[in-house]
Formats: sequence, C-alpha cells, structure tokens
Amino acid sequence: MFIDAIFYLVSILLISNSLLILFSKNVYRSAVFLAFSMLCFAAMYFMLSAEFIGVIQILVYVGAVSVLIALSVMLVKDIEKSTDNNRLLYYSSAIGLIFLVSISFFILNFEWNEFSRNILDGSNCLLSNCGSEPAILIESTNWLGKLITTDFMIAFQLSGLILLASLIGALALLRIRMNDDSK
Amino acid sequence: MGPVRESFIFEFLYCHLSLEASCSSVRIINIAFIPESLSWISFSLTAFFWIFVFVNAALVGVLALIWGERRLIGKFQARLGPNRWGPLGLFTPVADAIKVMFKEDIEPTLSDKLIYVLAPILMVVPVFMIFPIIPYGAKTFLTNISVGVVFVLAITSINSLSVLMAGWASGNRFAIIGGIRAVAMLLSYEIPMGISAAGVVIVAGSLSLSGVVDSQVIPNAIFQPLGFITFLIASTAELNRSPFDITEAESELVAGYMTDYSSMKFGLFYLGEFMATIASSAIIVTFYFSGWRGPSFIPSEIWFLAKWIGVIAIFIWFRATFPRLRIDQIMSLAWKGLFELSLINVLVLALMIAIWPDPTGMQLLLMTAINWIVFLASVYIFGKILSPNLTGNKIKKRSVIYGLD
Repeated sequence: MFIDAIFYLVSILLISNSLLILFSKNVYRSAVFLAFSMLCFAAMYFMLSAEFIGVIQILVYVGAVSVLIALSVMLVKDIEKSTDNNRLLYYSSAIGLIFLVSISFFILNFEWNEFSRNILDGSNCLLSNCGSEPAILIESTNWLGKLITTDFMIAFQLSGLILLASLIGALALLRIRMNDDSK
Repeated sequence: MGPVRESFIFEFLYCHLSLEASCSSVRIINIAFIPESLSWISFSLTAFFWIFVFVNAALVGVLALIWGERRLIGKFQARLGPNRWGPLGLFTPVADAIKVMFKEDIEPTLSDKLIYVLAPILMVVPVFMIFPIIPYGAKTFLTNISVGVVFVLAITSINSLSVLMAGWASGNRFAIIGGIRAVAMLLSYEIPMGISAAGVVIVAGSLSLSGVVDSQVIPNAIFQPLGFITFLIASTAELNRSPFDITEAESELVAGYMTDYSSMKFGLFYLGEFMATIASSAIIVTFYFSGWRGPSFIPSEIWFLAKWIGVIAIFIWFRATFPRLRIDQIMSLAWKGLFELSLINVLVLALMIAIWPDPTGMQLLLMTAINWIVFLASVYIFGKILSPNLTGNKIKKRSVIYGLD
C-alpha cells in the first residue's frame, strides 16, 4: 500500500515532467525538466529492485548528461521563446508516438519469463539457488556483474569501444580546430 | 517490507508500534497497538519518525559545524573567533540563522523565476539522502542498500546541475561564469573520486557501506594511502571548499553562482554546502577510517563520532592553510595528477587482489608496504612532472593549448 502510493506519486511526477519537457517554450526549462524526469526514472528503477541501474541513471544522466545538455542549451539563440527546433513539436511527437507503439508492441509480445529462465537455468548458473526469483531481486547487482562478464561480454566490450571511439573523435575535432586557430 | 529485518533501529521502533507476530521478541516494553493487517501504517510512521530525526540531526550538525569552523579558523589565525553570544560563542550560528531568515528576499528582474527557486532546493535535498545509508555503529544504521558506494557518488554528482541552474537563472554574468567554472571543476573531480572509490570496492569485494566497513582489518587510509589522498583532495573539490572554492572566489567573481541570491535562498546554498561537508566526512570515515570499528571498550557509535569530527577538522585545517588555486591549476591537477594517481592505485590493488584473493595477516602487511612504496614513488614522480605547470611559468603556452587566446 505504502509502496504503491509512492509508485503512483513517482509515475505522476515522471509523466508530468516528460510533458513539461515537450510543452515548455523555454529551452532551458526543458533541459531542467529532462533532468528531473531522469531522477524519476531512477526512482522507478529503485522500486523495481534494480538498484545498480537506478544509481547509474542518477550518476550518468542527472550528474553528467543533463549538465552537458544544460550547458549546450546556453548557446541556443533564443532561449526564452521557442526556437526553430522547438516548433517541430508535432513532428517529433508523431515520431515519438510511433516509437512508443512499436516498443510497447515488443514488450507486450516478448516472452520475459522464458527469457529470464533461459539465462538463469543455463550453464552459467552461478548462484546455488538460482532460478528462484528472490535470489535475483536481492542480488541483482551481483547478477548484473556476472552476466556482463560472461553472457553479454561482447556487447559490454563493444559499448566500451564505441565510447572510446567517440572520445578520440571529440579530441581529434578539437585538435583540428586548435591547429586552425594557431595559424 | 524490505528494511525492517535489516536495520536494528528501524525494527526496534517498528516492533513497538506493530502487533506483528514475529516482532514480539524484539519488544522491550509491550506497548504495540497497531494491528498486523495495518502494517503499512506502522511502517510509514516509523519511516517518517526516522526521516524527521535524520533531517533535524543534520540541521543541528550544520549549526555545530558553523560554530566549530569559526572557532577553529580563529585559532588558526591567532584570534579569538566568535565568543560573545552564549558560552564560547555557541549561539552565534543561531543568531546567524535568524539573521538569514529575516533578510529581504530579492528576486532579480532578469531571472528565470522557476529555476531560480528550484536551484537551492536541488542543492539541499539530495544531501539528506546520504545520511540514512551510513552505518554509524555496529547496529546503528537505517538502511543498508546493496549499492551504497555508487549511491553516494551519484548523489554528490547532482549538485553540479544545481550550481549550473543557479548560475543561469540569476541572469547575471558573474553568476554564469561562476556556474560554468563550477561545473567544469565538479565534473573533472568526479572522475578521480569515482576511481579511488573503486579501489575501496576492490578491497571490500562489496558495494554496500557495511561491507566496506567489515572488510577493513587495516583502515584503508593506511592500507591504500594513494587512494585516500586522491579521494580526500577530490572530495574537497566536490564540496567547493577552499582551496578549491574557485566558484565563489570573492576577489574574482563576487560570489559566483550565489551572487544574486539573498535571504533564505542563499541560506539554503550555505546549508547545502555545510551539510555536504558533514556527509562527505562521514563517507571518508566509512571508506578510509574503518567506520565504526575500533577497540570494543568504547561503543562503536562513539568511535564513529570521534573519527567523524577528526575528518571535519581536516577539512577546516585545509581551509585555513592552503591558498586558493587558479582555475587552470585546478584542471591540470585533476586531469594530469589525480586521475593518473587514482588509476595507478586501482591497478596496483587489482593486481595484488588477483595474486592474494584472500590475504592472511602477513600478506596484508606486505600489501600495505607495497602500497606505501607505490604511493611515495608516484607522488614524488608526479610532483616533479607537474610542478613547472603549477608554478605558472608556462601560462602563455598553456592558454594556447586550452584555446583561451
């Protein structure tokens, strides 16, 4: 009951913040509402017993990505009123709606139970009482670490590679600009 | 109901309210009156009580810190410090708080009203969330979340957003420059802080703060001095405290992002910073001074409190001693010094844990010795490499590198 009440409270906050991102004319306010909705996402993850992902959500999206977005929004020409990009509201809403429909179709038709059973009952069963749900809920961080370093090793390494590539790309761009400046 | 069985202080109060069957052994006096079917009421009552206690304890702690900081800095600077209002000047922060509350609340015309109001709130509220997860004693903690270490890092990273919001919403150039400087500094110092914390996690083999405390046979400050020093410097920077108080460097930027804030909104920023100092000291005690552990003739809570006050005194000592760094010095210290040092620390620790996964007493001493050798050698080398950059002889060349021409 108590937990349910908090769940609905967070949901209302999440939805209203997301709508405010779309409908506020001020671009900077949109960035701030984006940060708040990220915080609500983290709260959702906490309530689903995915503490690690929730915490990383705060660390990466609220602590770093939102700040960078807010910094880059400062460079926009007309922050207070809507800009050209802001006027694309209806097109972007349509695209978002298509995305929402397709992803909810996927989620509703996916065999979640079978998927988790396949992962947990497979050869990489690492805990003695694996397969039972409570073990996962309590040790979700442990499980995440073990799965990342066994089953999803390639995906994990690939994402690291993409991040490294973007880092080097950013450095290279800066380098080119600095060389131009010094001439 | 998750935290009930985990935390002693939560369970103790919960069981004196609820008539739950499994609770009867915990009760000392039989005064419970809420039936088992309404357990959510007793749960929320207990939760609200502890939230109340923690929030008010944090506020009282801030008053104590303001008083202690002024007295100590007075001693450092060979003067008396506040001594008029109450015994030893104890009521000075109270007078200060009343003064702040009754000041006129001014909102600048060019400010973005909504964000202007939200920023100080976002500074204060997250800090409250750190206090409940810290183990203050062998049995005294409220929750023991399984990802405590990362949680602490995540919560402390929110304040950079608040600083940026405050800087922008004021509609004032000093405030924006202060905010951008602050964000550059906070984001840079989060990285060495996180990597040093990874060293603690490697040794503990657990992300929960109780696990970190349990793992420290030798306190981490002695066991991994390199990680301790990098974490201490990085958290000083995260707290915006001197010598890293570049965001509000009075002589350069008036008051940085707080320039246009007055009355209780300014008071909230002030409160947030002091509370973050207290929380951060508690985290350093947990990570590096073995938390509540100590010889058992003194209760564990007293041990924790003594170490806590000691770490806060270190922060005050920093503030009284070091001159303020310039912004380029701060950035080069983060990226050319602390970042590499913390990486070396993690690398050495990971190698040693790979060789001795379950160290005995002798092996622990050996590991400590290796860590100290690495610490002294790498700090010496990095000092040699960095010192010409820090003295400021190469300003011209560096301003080209940063594109500041």
